[in-house]
Amino acid sequence: MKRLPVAWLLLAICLAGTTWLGTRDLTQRLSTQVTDLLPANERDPGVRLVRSLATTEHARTLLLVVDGLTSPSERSQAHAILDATLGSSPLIAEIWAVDAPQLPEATVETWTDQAVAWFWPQWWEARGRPTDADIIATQVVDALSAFLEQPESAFWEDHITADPFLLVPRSMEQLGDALNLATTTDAPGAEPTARWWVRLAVSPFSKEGQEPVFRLLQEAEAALAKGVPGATLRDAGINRFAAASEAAIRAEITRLNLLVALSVGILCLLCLRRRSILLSLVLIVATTLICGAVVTLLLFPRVHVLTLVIGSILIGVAVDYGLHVFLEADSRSPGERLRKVARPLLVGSLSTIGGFLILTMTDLPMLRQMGVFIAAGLATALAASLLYAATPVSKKPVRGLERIRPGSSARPFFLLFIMLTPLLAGLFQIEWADDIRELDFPLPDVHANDAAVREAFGTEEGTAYLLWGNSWASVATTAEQLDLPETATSLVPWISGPELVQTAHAAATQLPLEKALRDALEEGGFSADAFAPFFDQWNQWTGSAWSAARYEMAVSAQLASLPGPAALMAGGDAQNRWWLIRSPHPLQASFTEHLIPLAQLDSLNAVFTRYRQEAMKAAGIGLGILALGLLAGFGLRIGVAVLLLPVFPALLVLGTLGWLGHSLNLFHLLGAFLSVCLTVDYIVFALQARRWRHPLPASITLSALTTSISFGWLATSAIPAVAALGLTVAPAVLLAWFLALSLTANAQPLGIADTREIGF
Amino acid sequence: MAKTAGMRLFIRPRLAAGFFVFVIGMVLSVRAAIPGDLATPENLLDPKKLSPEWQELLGNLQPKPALEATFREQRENDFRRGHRVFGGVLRVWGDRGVSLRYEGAIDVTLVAAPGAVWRRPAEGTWTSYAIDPDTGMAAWSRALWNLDLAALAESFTIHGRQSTDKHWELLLTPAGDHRLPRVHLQGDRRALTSLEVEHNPRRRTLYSLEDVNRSPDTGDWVQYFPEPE
Repeated sequence: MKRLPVAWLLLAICLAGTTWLGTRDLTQRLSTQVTDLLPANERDPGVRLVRSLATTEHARTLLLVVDGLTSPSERSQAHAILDATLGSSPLIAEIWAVDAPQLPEATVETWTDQAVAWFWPQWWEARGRPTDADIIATQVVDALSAFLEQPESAFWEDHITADPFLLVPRSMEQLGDALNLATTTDAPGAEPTARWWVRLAVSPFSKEGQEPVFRLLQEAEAALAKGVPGATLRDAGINRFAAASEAAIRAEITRLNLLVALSVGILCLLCLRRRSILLSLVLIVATTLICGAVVTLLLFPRVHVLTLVIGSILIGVAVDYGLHVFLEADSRSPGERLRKVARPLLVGSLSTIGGFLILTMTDLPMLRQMGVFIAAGLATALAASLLYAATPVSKKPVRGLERIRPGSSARPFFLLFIMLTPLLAGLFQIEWADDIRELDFPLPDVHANDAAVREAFGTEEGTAYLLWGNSWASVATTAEQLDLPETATSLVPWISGPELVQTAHAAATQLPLEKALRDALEEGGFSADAFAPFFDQWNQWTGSAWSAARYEMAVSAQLASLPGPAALMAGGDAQNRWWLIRSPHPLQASFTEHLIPLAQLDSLNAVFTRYRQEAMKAAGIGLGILALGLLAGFGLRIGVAVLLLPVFPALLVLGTLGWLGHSLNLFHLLGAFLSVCLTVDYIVFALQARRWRHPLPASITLSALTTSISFGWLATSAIPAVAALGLTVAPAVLLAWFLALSLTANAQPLGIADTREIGF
Repeated sequence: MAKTAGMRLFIRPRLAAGFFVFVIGMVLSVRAAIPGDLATPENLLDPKKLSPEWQELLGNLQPKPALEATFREQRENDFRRGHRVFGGVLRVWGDRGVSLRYEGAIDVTLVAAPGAVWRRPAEGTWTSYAIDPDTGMAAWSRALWNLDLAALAESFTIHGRQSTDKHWELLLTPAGDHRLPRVHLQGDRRALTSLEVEHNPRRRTLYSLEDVNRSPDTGDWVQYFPEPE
């Protein structure tokens, strides 16, 4: 086979792959969300709920603060301007003035229409579950008369005929904390504050939820500055983090890929005598990257960009295979070279591919994606390299590298390694510190702005909990057993449990309330007929049967009616329902599995620890499979050597990091495993060269250099997880190369080719 | 057989007639308080093209920039027989809004300030009242009590007339939003004396003002408004 048809074939594959990628909506397929790094079907209910929190309505919240106002009228103007600019936009679903919240009329009307079904059981419970209709009627009329003597009753007068029990005003008081309805001011000297809570109509992670929203906010600020000179607008929201994170990660991908490509390219240019080889290598690498991306996107509906960041090491690894082929120039013919290269190349690459495929068995989506991306890419690189192995290559294509020899004795090398061995003791000093934030791009400016805006909203003291269950009934029942302190903020007082609703409904059906209330109203100076809306509602409720399904529907409707920030106090899907509870003091509950402290970071970090342990197990299994393969392929002695020699540098690096007091995480572990997979072929080629008393093939040296440079660049990444990976792999690869070099001590110069097959 | 009250009415025609006159009077006082002949094309007022008479009158009536008066508030509803009466001191203070200090058994101050309604009991702090809707008190009452016809014209169609006996009246009819009330204002050359707010066919509120002072000393008014300069 000639090299040109191979080049055309790879070029065609690249073009086809690029065309396919071009037709995908990559903005939707590639994710920058940290939550996408966690599996959607995570078995820890707490993390599953936290994940749903981060991706649903909670994430759609924007906080706005207007500074520079000098009077209440300016605040009023600011409100009108923001209402006009933001409220009319399809990007905004709801605006809630935190300093002077107003219940939407639609909300009050909905509550009034459903007052009996939603709120009457609580009224009945609060009065000791009375069963005498006359007593109830007298209490209602007395309370109503007293209420109407309050000047502020004017605001309720349009709803009185549907709600003589005053259930809605009472329920509004119960929601006061959750909705910040009872905004107070110690008037003298108080500066007018201007804060708004905004709910986006679009996802903050989507295109529409970012730039268009930022433009809208700019327009609002411009309108504000025009209407209220000196006023400025600050905002905070997930979309700021998402946009900044995406931009930073994209820049990081570009930077790392560019640096790796340039470094590897320059190194190859310096070491390779023939530029045509370089072009072939470029084709191999391009095909590798494109095929890796295509296969990954075919298998995963959404791929995290970190996969691609870490995947940039493919450049450094894929180029190795080509180098092995092209630098085996002493072979007399392509067939002989293929025969010489194929076996060690296959063993080395398949072991690496197998190692990465093990990652697909883990739970962490990113690891699975990375496993597929690199395994698919390396399989492509292997195939392309083997195709090139069957093509003619000019003699001595490499310069300089073959002169790197360990000398006639391996003793100094082994002495050096023996001296380094005590560092392995550091393995026992390793401190694991799993922090989900290591996966995120550090954005200090965005964090600072977010903290400043949130400070204007006041810090929420205490602990937040998620109370969850598989139905609203189970959540409400658990809530009733909680014995929450009065200072706790929750929906517990606002939503009746199923037992209460059922009992109240049963009692209500036995009450001759309409007659008793009509009489009491007439006696109290009211026109009973005017209260027809209430009696209709009462008769409808008592006339229908209670059922668990009806209870679920009623609570869903009740929660759906919540406006503003209160809407965030409950959520979930058909399988998992939750309420948010905020308590100034830790809650003592025996049924902790249904009450999860919302220390989100701790929950996620705990899961992260679990993933590390699972990755450790996966790595162990991977090494076991690798060991079996090597033992089967090479026999006991060589097999053990091929397995243990790459493991030693990896352990040495981890031990050194442990000894230095560097906290390790999942990605250090992953790096160690990766380095073993990457350097197996170094040892295989080194042992082959040792057998033939040849020096270490130049391809191994060049490969080690390109790989360590690739990972060295990763070590400079601003993303701690990526840096951890680079920091582990780069020195481990260099150490493995050094070890391989030492194995070829006492080598004979090339040219006295021993064509005997190596005995493995 | 004992005679019922209804039967006694028929037995005593004079008493019956008196009762019906009273009832009709009550009904008329509720249903026909806002004169039907005011909303005619010739009475339509355009705040941008006010006649010199209206300009002069409004100049006399508007707070400068504050106003203080005692008020009587009468509330009428279809669900309650009779009406309820409240009273106290009304204060209008420029952009600050309108403060109604209710006096008597229940001492509470309600303020329709820009953007919100605030409430404060005699001993206590200001609390915003979250039930006033977009079309409620905070939205229009400041313009109303300041007699700011230009601002009112954004939401209402305005009709008005002045009579030779120095009496004047204005009728505000919702221009578009049916949730807004219909408002009828009356007064003399010196002051606004009564204001009737028909919220809907089932509810209305009547205000009557006395002792109107358009140049009060606002020195201690900070206690009547939630957010001082």
